[in-house]
Amino acid sequence: MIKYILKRLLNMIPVIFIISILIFATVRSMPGDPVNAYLGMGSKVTPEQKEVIREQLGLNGPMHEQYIRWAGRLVQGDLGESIKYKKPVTELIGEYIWNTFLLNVISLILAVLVSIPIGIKQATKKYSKFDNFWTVFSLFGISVPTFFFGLVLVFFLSLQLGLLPMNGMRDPIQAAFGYPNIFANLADVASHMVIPVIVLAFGSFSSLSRYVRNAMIDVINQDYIRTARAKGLKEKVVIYRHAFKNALIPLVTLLGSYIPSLFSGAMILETVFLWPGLGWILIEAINSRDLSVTTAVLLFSAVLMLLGNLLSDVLYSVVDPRIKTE
Amino acid sequence: MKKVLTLLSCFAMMITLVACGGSSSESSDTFVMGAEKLTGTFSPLYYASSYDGYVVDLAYDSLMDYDKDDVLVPELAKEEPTISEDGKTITFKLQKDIKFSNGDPLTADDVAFTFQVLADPSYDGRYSAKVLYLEGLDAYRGVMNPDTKKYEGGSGKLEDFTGIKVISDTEIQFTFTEARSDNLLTVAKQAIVNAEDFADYAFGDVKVVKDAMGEPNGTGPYVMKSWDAATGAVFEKSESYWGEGFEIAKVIIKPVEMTTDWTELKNKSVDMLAGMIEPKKVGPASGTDFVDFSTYPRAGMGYVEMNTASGVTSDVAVRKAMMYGFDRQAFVDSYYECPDCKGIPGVGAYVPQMYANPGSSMGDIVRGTEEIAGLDSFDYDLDKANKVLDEAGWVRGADGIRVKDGQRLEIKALTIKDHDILSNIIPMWQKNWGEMGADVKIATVDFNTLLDKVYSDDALNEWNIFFMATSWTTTEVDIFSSFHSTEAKNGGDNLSRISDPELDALLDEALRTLDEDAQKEVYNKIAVKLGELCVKVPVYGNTYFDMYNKDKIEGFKTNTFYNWTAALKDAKMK
Amino acid sequence: MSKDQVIEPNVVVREEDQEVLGPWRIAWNKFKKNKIAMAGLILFVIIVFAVIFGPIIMGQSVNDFDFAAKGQGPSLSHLLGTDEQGRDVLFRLLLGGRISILVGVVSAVITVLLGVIIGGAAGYYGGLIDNLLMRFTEIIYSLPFTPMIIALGATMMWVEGNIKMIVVSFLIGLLSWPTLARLVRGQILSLREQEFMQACESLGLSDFSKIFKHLIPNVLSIVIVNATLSMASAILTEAGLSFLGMGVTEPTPTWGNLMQLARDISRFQNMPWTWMPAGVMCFLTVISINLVGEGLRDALDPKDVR
Repeated sequence: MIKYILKRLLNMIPVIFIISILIFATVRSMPGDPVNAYLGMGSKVTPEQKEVIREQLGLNGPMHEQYIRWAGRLVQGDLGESIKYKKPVTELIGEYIWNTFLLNVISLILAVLVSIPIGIKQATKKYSKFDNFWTVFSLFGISVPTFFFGLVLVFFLSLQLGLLPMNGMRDPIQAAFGYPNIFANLADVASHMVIPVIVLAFGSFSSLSRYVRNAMIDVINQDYIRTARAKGLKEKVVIYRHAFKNALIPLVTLLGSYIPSLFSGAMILETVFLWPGLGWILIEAINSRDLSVTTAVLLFSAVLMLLGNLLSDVLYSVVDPRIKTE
Repeated sequence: MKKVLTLLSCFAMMITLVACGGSSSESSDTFVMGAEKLTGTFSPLYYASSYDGYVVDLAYDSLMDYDKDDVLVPELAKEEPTISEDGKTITFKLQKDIKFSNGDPLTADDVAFTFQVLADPSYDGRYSAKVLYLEGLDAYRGVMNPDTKKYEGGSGKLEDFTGIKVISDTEIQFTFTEARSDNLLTVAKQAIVNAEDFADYAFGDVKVVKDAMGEPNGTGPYVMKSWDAATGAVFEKSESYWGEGFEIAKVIIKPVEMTTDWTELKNKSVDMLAGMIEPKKVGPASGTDFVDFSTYPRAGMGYVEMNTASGVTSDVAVRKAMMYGFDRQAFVDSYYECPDCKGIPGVGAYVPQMYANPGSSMGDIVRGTEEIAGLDSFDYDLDKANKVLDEAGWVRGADGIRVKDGQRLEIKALTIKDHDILSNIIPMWQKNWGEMGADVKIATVDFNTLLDKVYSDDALNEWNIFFMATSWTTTEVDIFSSFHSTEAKNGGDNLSRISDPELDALLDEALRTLDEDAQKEVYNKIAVKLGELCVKVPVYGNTYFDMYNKDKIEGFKTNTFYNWTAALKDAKMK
Repeated sequence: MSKDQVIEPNVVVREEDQEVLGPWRIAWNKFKKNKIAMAGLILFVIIVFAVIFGPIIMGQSVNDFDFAAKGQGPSLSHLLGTDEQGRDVLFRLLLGGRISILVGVVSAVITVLLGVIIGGAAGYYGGLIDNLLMRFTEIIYSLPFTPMIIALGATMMWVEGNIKMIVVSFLIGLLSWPTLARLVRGQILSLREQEFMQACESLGLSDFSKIFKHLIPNVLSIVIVNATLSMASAILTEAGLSFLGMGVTEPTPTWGNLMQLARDISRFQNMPWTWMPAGVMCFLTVISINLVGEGLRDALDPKDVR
């Protein structure tokens, strides 16, 4: 097993190498001079001076030279400096990543807690009204554009009813002049999280509940469940002790492979809610041609995706020894 | 199922619980300003967005600044500067007992230091043009080596930088290489930093200055307490502030989105929004009982610029026909129509007569309040447009598109996305110019791409016209670099690439004429000339509306160059 | 498609009064019985007809505008009202639907083609080829989509709007196939171990016939279901891109860039007719496709007999 993981990790190195070249090349081939974006409109900076600045920002020379310089620093853990925020990219990512994680992890927990009981019940009452209702309901979740759903929630919950803040992560006044106690602090962040969490959780709920339902149906059709029933065990015991336990295995592996993605930001959602996470930083960086930030965040997401794939393969083979880890 | 319900109800409870803890901009000593996101570049030597500029305005002062009548008056300077006979030398006397927010006193050395940083060979901010015409710059900074792209051979000694001379602790003198009419503004409006903050600074390395970008320390009325991109910037009144007024103790600049800002004002999560123009925001605001307005003419305009170096727009007849065939008045009327506006006289938009800063001495010409003989106002007239094209030899082909010498009348228009005004203008172009016999092609790109295309000489044949809006923060006329042939180069500001010897001569003359009346006469000639050339044509000018919560704040009066940060001086919380 | 897959119209063998049906007929019968799925199919067909023929019947042009009629609510002359440029919302809605659905179809085709070919090859050949193809999949999967769109947008500035849209669809397809490829590969890996494949092996069948006659038909149900799903998600992706201001741009309407009108809060509150229909139509289309996909999943599942 360890050998397998090591092999996969070794395999990842050339993949990351190629991905880094592709990401670097695409980001640099975006039109729009970072120097102009950085200086802003009507700066009256002379073209000569712009050349000096370009040199200082490390944006001079042919692309492959730029890549080698960049990759050299990357290996040493230096992701460069943000042109826009004028601080190291690692620091910037460190600042925003936890906001993204917080949002994602709460949504996922909520989705799991709601989707498991519903999925199980759907499976036990296949094709009942209950099942049909939740099937259609979960289809809603994957059919509605996230930003549209988010905007509609904002419209009702924030604008019409005034229950919740529209966007952001904290109330600026409270955040600025200190919260009376930690609970006020938590409550403030929580109130800002409600709508984005509902939107995110709705999406994950939809796919998770379908997954639980199908996994349970597979298990219930197995012989040993029939045996358990034949032994005269109570239906509740059969479902929850025997069937669910077995259906849990694929579910856990699925959730396990989600872990890396908890750190990668959702561009659209974070933009709609002005949530200060990685997705937000990325779209800002793209729009202001902050190349080092753009490249770093994209590469980071790619690595997370690779880790997710690896984790999911490893977990599957751990759980199901029938799957060969070749 | 029960469990699900319990969970859901728990969640619902959480919502209601936290909802009670929310929104509280009711605190009475804090003024919350809504503005687009800050980036954290709060150095007066580096900031590039006008929102970061708010922070600089609150925390720093300059030698002179505009008062509430938009007149440039001394601020850190004790009195009006003395300007030498030849117009090349300007001397400022500083007020005594002015302190930075950390308590350090302000001296002429601080002023000199500010400009020294701008002249540093490693300086990479956007204000390097401020020292461009100071005497001795090359000796001080060195000359650029085209191979290394670095300034080399500079002495780095202030005594070689003859353009800046510290006469005493309270007196500083600037000397320019030529007597330009914009010299005074160039130095007077620069916010001054504290040289003692940068004791580690050595010539050739501005890193220490850049590193301090997030911690402003100026002589201004407010000190920044904290900042982050998501919640905004927090200010408290500076204890060492030297001036009067500014009674509001705390100020917050909260990030808002352009698409939702009005709602934040309505919900009272911000107390003020500046520079509003859209009738769909101004109208509803005028219908509430708590919003008041401070209105002033905007020093800015939206315009189209035409490519004179390539394609069909290199023919002046085509450019003129396009202007006759573009009903700008109809656009202004339709876009700025404000049926909901109550108690305010519409949103006051107009079609400017020429491209120049409406807040400058040319304002009357721009706004059309002053008529100039021979200046074509390009009123919409499709027949005239057709006639101009007919006369110039553009003949309609079988498909209705005009052709001349085998070239089709194809107009490539570069536009930017998500732009309310453009979504109104584009269909007008397509229809009106289509009727004129032109094939209008639209490309929508993002802002940075557009800049790339129009600044680059390599992309000259990729566009004919583009639309842009601009604003000025000073009273400079600012037409030299837009039209002078020396700027018609790769990366230069003359994007239409117009090169006209007569126009060049007029622009040179205007720049070197210091007498205001004489200067005005030259400007009038320039206006007529620009009308004939038809290269950078305004589409609209307008009024700005600063909307504020009058239940919270009073005595608030802003002006074109006297923004909310300055107007806080006389404002009070209720 | 192999012969036994073709629905032969009258192969009805009377034997103890029971019909013997081909697998596709069985699936179709099952699908027909699934009321929800049928409703989805009918809805989808109606929407497709509406967006194809609606604009033709209305006979307007994209360039038509009328400032005098701007911002009007729904009325008899403009069933869904007009937008801020006085353009007919219904017309733009239907026109936008054409593009959104076409983007969905084109990218679904690309997704399926690439996904099946690459996933199939990886699963079938295994070993080094599998390893290489899967690494390739990972690389493609992490291509930076948004910067690519921006870069392409600038190189295609003066390319015809329709072609631009096709390119956007291609990009969406390119981004989406890896998921399907992984699925197909997994399925084929497990099929390869089964007895009938070993039988093929011992019979000495060619690769071609093994893949196309025996493996592909067995993964077809996954592929069909995923084709519908990826079509639905491509429509959503386009909408998301337009929301971020990328993808197909003004003045060409798509459901995505009609919906993003709702970002402006005053439009959101005061002119719901400009953006709401696009949101509803987009939602209805996507859910109808998903319902069909769900119905197909049940119908094509041999284990599942109702």
